[in-house]
Amino acid sequence: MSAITFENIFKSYRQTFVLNDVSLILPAGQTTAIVGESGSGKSTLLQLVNGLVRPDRGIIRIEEKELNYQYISSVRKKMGYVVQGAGLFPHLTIRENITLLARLSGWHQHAIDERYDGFLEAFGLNKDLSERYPHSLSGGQQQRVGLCRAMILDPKLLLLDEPFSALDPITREAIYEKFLQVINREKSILLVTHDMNEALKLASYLVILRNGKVIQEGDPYNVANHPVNQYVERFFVGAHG
Amino acid sequence: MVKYIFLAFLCYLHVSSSLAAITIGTKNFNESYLLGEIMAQLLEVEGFEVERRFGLGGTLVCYEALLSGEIDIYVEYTGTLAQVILKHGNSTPEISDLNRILAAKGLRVLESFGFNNTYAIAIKEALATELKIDRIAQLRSQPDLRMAFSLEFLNREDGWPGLMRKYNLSANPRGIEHGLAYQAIHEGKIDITDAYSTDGDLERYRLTVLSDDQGYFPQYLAVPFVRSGLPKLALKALSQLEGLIDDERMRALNGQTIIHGNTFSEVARTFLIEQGFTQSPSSINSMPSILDNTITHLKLTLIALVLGVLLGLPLGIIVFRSNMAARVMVYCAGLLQTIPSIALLALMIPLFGIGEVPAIIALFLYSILPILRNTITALVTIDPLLKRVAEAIGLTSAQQLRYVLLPMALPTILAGIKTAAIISIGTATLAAFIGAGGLGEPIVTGLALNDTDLILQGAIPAAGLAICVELFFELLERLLVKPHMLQNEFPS
Repeated sequence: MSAITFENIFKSYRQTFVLNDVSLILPAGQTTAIVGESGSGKSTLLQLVNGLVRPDRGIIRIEEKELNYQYISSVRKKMGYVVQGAGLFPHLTIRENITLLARLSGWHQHAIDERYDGFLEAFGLNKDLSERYPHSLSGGQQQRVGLCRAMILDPKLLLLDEPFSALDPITREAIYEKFLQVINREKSILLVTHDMNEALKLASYLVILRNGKVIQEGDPYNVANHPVNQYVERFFVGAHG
Repeated sequence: MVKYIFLAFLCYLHVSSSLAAITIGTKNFNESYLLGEIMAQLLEVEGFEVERRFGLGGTLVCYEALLSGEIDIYVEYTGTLAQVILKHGNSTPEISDLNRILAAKGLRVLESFGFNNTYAIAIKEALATELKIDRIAQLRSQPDLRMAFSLEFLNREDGWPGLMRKYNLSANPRGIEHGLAYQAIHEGKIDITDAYSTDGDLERYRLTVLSDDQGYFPQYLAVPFVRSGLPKLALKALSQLEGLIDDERMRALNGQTIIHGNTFSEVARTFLIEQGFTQSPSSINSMPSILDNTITHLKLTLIALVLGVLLGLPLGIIVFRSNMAARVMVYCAGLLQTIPSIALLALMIPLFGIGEVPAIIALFLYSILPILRNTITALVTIDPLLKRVAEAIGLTSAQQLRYVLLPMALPTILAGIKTAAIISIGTATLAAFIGAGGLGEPIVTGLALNDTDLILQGAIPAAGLAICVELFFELLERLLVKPHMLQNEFPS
């Protein structure tokens, strides 16, 4: 089964194509990395999945079902979303940020607490942070909180929009480790990044995007060993999975 | 159905109140208050119930109030009627001429009280005696007298320029602020100035008025201006005042309030007793207390503010997503703000009458802009990333507002409401101009009487209220907003 299918997607802003006839079938239960430069259309591709952006033409399917824009907010609740800089709500405490969706979904307090405590531990966050506000946390801590928030409803699909790119290398490595421990094999993950190292570390499927077109896709090591052109090859210079 | 019952009830209230009592209005200066009070007490002696709507904001407000039946009587001047209200070319009209035009509007003027409050040329009594002059024409032979006139008088065609031509005068007068002229003449800095012929200050500074022997100045005869439907008995009662007060008497009566500090009620009562209306009523109408005025003031402000929030906040929330709609709304609210308050009040009299309702509506209209604009600004300027995240994690539009956008916008929205509240407290003093009471009442009366104590009785509590509101909102902010949200320390 595929997690996400893009069928002949076209999207343009002000008469410039951002996505130009993109078709992809992304495997379920795996992490797919979409790698490209700024302006390649990778973020737009990700935002098509949760309906923040709608295609001009083409169809998006989630687990084989066409994306339902009419009930988009309940569809979105089944997808975790993490952005660069975490995007935590500044007026809510760490606990409130993480548990907001669970509370609004009517979960029992007991269930919320249990899941919350589990997350803190899994991501190595100190319990003392619970009642603090995001501005008093480090960037790495904020990003871990962002991951917790995205996973609180236990979504089968996670959308990660360059979540780690603002972090220093040491903090990043630490988070990769925690992240790989936490996600179970059943989750489908779509990771957008410009960092091939990160893609090789986290993903089992790789898509290279350039100027709104898919240039190459497949198993990361296959792509690395058989780049279709110099452009793809250059992405691997200095990268070491 | 309920609506019709309500309307019927309103009509009943309206009709019953206009049957039960005669409402007397006055403009916001000394003489108008005094004549209003004299008429009020006289009608009370005759057994009528009288409602006082004193200190209305000038000719326009009084006239609109009379026309719409909010008041039944006020004192007007024939010259003003001709020029300002009827736009009548002849500035010295006969009363019968005025009534012919007014009949179509359901209004009429009664015979004059007997005095003419027009422009006058004033000189120190002692100096006039010494120089043996009592007529304007005699100024021609006194070129050494130092003249200073108010700027308005100096520049009005029916002021100095015309006077100079009519009497063939050659003096070269200076301009002076009217309020300072009496002081200047008193201290001997100038000899001659312009005045109003029944000004109480003439008495205070022992000035005499030179007679207009060639009839240059237009007539401003004081007349009761009434609705035609006034009961016959009331008209008959008021006709007793015809010709009873000449210029000198009016000056003396004005002087008793301005110089000697007697209340309008006392002066009117004494006058009526002197004129033989012995059964003067025992009830003395005292001014409402400072506390009453403060409560009224607070009530006007609070109701207007609540209405402003009820409209401005939802409107801001509805339009903020559309740049165009937000601009249009802020522009409209801004336009409202530019209407001068007296004009806005006068415009509303035909719709809402006088009293608290139009005052509240005016304050409400003025409060919309700061609330609306701050709401829109606060919502628009929230970090777009956070808006995107709120949407992307699956919050519905309502949930985005409730849990993310509004809490983040709260400090700015609160600041807008605070601004509206403080503006309202200031503006609400104008409510006195349309008979809504509040702290403007002592201020307006105090200004008419040149009575600083009275002005302060309104101004100090108003300032106090403004400070209290400031403190209240500070407290509210502390209760509702996290400290780090106030300093704009948003992590990005």
